[in-house]
Amino acid sequence: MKPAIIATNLAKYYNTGKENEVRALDGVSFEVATGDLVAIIGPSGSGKSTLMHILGVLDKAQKGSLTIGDVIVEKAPRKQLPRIRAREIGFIFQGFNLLSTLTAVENVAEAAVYTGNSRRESLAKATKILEDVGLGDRLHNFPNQLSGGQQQRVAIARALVNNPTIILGDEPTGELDTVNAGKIMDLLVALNRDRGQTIILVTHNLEVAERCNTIITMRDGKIADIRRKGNHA
Amino acid sequence: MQIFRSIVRRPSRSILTALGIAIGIFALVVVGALAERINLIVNGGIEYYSSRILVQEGSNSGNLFRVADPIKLDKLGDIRAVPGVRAAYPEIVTLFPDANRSGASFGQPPFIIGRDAAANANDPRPLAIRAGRDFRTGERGVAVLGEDLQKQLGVKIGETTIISGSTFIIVGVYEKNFTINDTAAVMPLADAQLLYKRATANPSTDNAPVTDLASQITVFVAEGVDPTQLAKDINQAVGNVKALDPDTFRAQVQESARLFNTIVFGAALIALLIGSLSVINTMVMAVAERTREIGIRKAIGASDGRVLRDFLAEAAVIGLLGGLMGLFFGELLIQYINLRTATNGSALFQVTPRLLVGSYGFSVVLAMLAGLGPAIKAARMLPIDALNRER
Repeated sequence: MKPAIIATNLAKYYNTGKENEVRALDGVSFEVATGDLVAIIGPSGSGKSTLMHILGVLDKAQKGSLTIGDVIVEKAPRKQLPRIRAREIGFIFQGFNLLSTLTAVENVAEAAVYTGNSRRESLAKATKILEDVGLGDRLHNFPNQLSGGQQQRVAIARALVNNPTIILGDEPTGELDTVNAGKIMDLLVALNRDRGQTIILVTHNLEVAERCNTIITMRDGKIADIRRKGNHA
Repeated sequence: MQIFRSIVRRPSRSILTALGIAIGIFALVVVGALAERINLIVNGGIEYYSSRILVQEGSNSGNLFRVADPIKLDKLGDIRAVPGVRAAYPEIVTLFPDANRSGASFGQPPFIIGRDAAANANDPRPLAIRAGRDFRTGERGVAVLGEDLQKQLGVKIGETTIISGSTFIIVGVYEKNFTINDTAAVMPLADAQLLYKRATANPSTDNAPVTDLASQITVFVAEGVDPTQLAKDINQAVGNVKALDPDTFRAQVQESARLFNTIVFGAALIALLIGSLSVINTMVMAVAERTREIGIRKAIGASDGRVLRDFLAEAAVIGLLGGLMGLFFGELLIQYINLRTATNGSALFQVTPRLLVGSYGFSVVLAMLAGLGPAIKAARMLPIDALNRER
């Protein structure tokens, strides 16, 4: 099967040429198989989040190549990038990043609107997906009326509403207590298992990582290790 | 719908932003209304005098804004004989110093005007009666007031009032036409001649029979005749007179209005600047505050164009709200000051449809233009840069 993501020699430097140059990513290459559940781990400053932002087309690599599905990102016209973000990728942030002025259902529907759905269709899709993640009774609550776990479920629903091929989670359980973190992981594992969605998570939590099929370890902007269930690469 | 909700759900920020715009539009409307008032007065005068020539004694300066020395009425026949003259009537124009004025006035002073009852009937631009009637030939002891003077004096039709020591019955009120007539008590020439003689201790009038007194002769121009040429003809044909044609009047009005216009233009420019800066500042701040929101929207798939369109639409709505607030408060202040100054017979401000539409349109366009720059900048940012902006 064709890989969901092919990253080749990705690099991202800050303060290039200066004394305090930081090599956040320094020649990172890997592939993620379609339907895989991947954890990216590593110490703080190892480049995990930078890599995640580049994979999510939220940021640009200075060097290297990134292919998502059939699209070579660095060669795609600027206008195509929002389409990739809307249709191919669902991004879950550590801090949820919900729009505070919209209700749960509106937050989810907003993403559906960006793929060309009408407002009515978007709200219907959002309602369905929020019910799927167990928030059918919280549709019209604003983010500040929801617990952290509930907000993250809304964020997951938003990431899922356009049925993207890849779900990216940047520390999706980082701001949650153990119980809620476990529930969110259950949900993500179920999504991967039942819907076959490719999921890549950045995490500090080794318990979370252990529930994934592939674990990529990063250190100093480089990939130190890629371990697939039962073997090392 | 989404735009309105976005505005409603940030009430404090929306109100503050709209207030910033409102302040600018408020300043613009108030100063604009002052300028419009001046325009009306200037244009009213120019239009009124476009069909008449004023003939004064040759020794006068020719300045219409000074009460003239009397002209000898034996020249009336010579003037009427000049080809192109449709009609000519003697007129008294003198100050009405004892008009009961309750405080400072921003308009022109009150006048006493004496004219032949037939003059208004032959006037190509006659004064229209708003209430009551005009005075009639041979009638005495009656006066028709200009609208502003009537308000100032507070007299009603049928009531009497004292004008320069004599009692007059007010028989009518002229419709406002933004000329000297608005603040004038217009009366039969014979009555005005008596008041004029009484008021002026002028050697040239002391020995003259009262029926010979006039401060000017108003000439109505026959149809198709060039007033400027006719004024020249009168000056040539009649000795020792100064005929002022509409062009001279226009030049005098414009000269007099120039300084005032410059001041008003300067004030309007400052108001515009304050308004613009206020609008630009609020819109720039509004967009800057929402950079993170733009980042979130872009991260979940919003295109640059979509972000831009949403922000511009919101800016337009806020511009509309701010503009409405500015117009409302500006109108409130204008009405208040006009009410206060109306007791002196002259409103200070004039709110015109073009001022309202112009100011309102300005608030919307400026809000959109002010929001455009930062919105483009924010829309073109990488999502991650926008997301990290407020972290």
